[in-house]
Amino acid sequence: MAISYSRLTHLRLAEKFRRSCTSTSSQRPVPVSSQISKIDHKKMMKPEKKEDRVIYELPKVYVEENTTGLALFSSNTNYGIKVIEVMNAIKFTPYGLRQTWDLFQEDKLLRSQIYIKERAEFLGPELATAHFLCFRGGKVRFHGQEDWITQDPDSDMLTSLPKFYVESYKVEAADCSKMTLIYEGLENMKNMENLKWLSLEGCPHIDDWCLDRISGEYGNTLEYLDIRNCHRVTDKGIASLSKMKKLKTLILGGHPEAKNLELVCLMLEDILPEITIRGIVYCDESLLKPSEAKE
Amino acid sequence: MFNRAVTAAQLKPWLKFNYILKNVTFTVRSFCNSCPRYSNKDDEPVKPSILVPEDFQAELDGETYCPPLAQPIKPHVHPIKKSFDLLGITGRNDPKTHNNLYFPRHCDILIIGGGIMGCSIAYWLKQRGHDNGLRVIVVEQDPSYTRASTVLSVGGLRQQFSLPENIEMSLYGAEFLRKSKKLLSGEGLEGPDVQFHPFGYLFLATEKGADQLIANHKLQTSLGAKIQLLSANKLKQKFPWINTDGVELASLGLENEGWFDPWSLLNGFRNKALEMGVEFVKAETVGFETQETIVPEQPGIGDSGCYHKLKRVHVRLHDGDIRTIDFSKCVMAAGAQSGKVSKLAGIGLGTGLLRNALPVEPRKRYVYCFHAPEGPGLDCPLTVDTTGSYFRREGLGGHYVAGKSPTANEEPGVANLDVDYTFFDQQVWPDVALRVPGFENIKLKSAWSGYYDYNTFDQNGVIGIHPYHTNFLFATGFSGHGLQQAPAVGRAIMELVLEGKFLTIDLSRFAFDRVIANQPVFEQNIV
Repeated sequence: MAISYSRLTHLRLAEKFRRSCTSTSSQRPVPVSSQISKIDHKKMMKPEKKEDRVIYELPKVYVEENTTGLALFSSNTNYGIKVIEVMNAIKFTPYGLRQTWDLFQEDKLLRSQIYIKERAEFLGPELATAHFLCFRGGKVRFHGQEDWITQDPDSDMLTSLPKFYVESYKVEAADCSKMTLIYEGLENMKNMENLKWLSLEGCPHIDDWCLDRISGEYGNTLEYLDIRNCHRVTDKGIASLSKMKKLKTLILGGHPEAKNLELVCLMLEDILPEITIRGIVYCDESLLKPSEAKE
Repeated sequence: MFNRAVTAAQLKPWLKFNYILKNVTFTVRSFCNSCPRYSNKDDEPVKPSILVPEDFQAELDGETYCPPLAQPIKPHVHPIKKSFDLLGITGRNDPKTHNNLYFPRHCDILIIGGGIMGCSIAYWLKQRGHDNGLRVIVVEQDPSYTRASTVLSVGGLRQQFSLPENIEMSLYGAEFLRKSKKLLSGEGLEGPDVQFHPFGYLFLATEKGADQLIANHKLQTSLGAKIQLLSANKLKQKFPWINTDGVELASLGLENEGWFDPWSLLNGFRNKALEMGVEFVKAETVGFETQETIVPEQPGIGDSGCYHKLKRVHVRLHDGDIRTIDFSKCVMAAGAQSGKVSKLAGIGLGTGLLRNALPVEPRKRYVYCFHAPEGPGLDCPLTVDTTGSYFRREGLGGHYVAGKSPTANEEPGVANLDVDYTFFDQQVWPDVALRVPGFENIKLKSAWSGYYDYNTFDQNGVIGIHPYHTNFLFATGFSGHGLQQAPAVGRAIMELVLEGKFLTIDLSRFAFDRVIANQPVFEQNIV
């Protein structure tokens, strides 16, 4: 490609000038967080700046600076592997198609339940959880009230929940039975100070990791937990409920993968002071009755 | 005329080079002597902006010499195939074809070591784009894993580190374990059940170590880990079986911490890698071959020179035969033996950038299993005492597993995996019995030992490319916490190989460069 030296210098200088312009541009204004939210729940602190950490790098022997006009078209990413990824994204076999379909469904579920920081900042954690659960078919009861708040099946709006932060609304009970809650969705249910009653009956996606999250989050306040018919829960998840020291009632049932369930429950009854476990049959009562032959 | 091989870029000296020329071989012949040379010999020396210590500058200025590594050997050809060639029948039996039916003779990426790191890297490399055409071979000496660190590990998963890279890697490890059943499943292949026990880690600190614990806790929570600090009183309330003498502060992991089964994760990675087409070769690495590669002169950058590029590995099969495998990139994931095998590549035997050896050596650690009827019971996290001893519950029958890292002058020999029971009586049991009065009445049931891939430099992983052998990557030296970081390290190596840089977690601080520059990156241990 024939290009004159003066034209090339002009391009180089233009590129340098363009770069220097963008580096001194004014910063965008930082969005002001709502003044209503008073609870300073865990905001992500910025990780320490790179200059503070001593990163030792060998000085580069081959300097790869692009100072030509053609640099505008070059890129640092390797597009070769991306092309192959896109080409091979869907495998057109029965298994592959089913896999792709499952991936789409999971992605849809994840996107519908992802944690939205702005919602929690605006409404406060308790009301944000209430909105999240009621919109997806759950029920919520607040401290001091007797009625369960639920979504009207006909309409899309939640009329009985306030749309702004109100301090007196504290969630005391949450009924999530038969909801399709996933692990990432449980992140919406954090920072509730007074949660005492929780029902996850019939939720198909609840497994040991979700129970770990629940017992880590509500270890100090939960008193009633119902995990009937959560098929993925094993005895390790139920054993991790030993972290909840105030648990009074635990309802089990329908865990095909939980082996040694009776032993775990006996050990839980040793550790947790006020626990009552319902749904567990420790021994067959009929064996305790005297047999017919003796009489 | 032209004083270099003719390629399009060479004819445009004003373009700075944007691609790596090192992997291309040129034959350079000079036709005339009077062409202008664009070298920077007479320019002023460029001072690097990063502070370079003086002894390191001397290393850089000095020449890097790679000693001769292994003699080239002719590839093994089966005698029947040889006779076919003599007869002139070619095709499937042609020795010149790649993909030798009896032994793979070339690959794109060679992974030395088939433990958790090697299998994880193989999985990540192949799962990018399904049939992405990458040919990956894993060379594993012992497919029954009798002496591998992975399967002998206690299997802990924790986020309580003091370096942000370690914390992020463990967080991703937990996320990967949660999704492992789905990710590592395939057609006809069921994903592994990693059997995660979500009971947390409990670190105890004396008065001296409390400040460090608080600083670590701040960093951990800022990166998303859920850790709770407990004072001595709260600790006693939460765990009534503990004796809080000397404990000032404790940190308990609330979420994503516990222990899991390393064998099932290893099998999960390995089976999925096999399903995706990775070849596992049962052989021992015995040597590397290099090839003198000429780096042509680049105007404005430097003169031409030649360097020894790693091209081929020699492996010994179980019957003593030595075969060769050509590779384009090689990943060192050999665990405890990594230092020894890296020496075969010249790392540590040359001068300049090859002077420093990989500081990874095997260190033996014991794990003891005992029965304690009056032990803590169900709510027992993996407790790490102020003395360095640790213990955790094993199963539901009152069994516990304990161990301790010995001090420098008590290091056991690494010749075999025999267990020293006096270490338990003298070092481990007194510590755990002091901390948990219920452990005074115990019965030792069994014990085993395994090797740490111990990084003698700073006890953290070495992850990155070697500065001289630019097609040689490291993923080793994790000194006991490698298992939980394996998914993240596999992904990091995949990014390095396929993209050229780290995309998700920036592990540039863990590169081999820090060994040459003598800048260790220590994990701040709690006292």
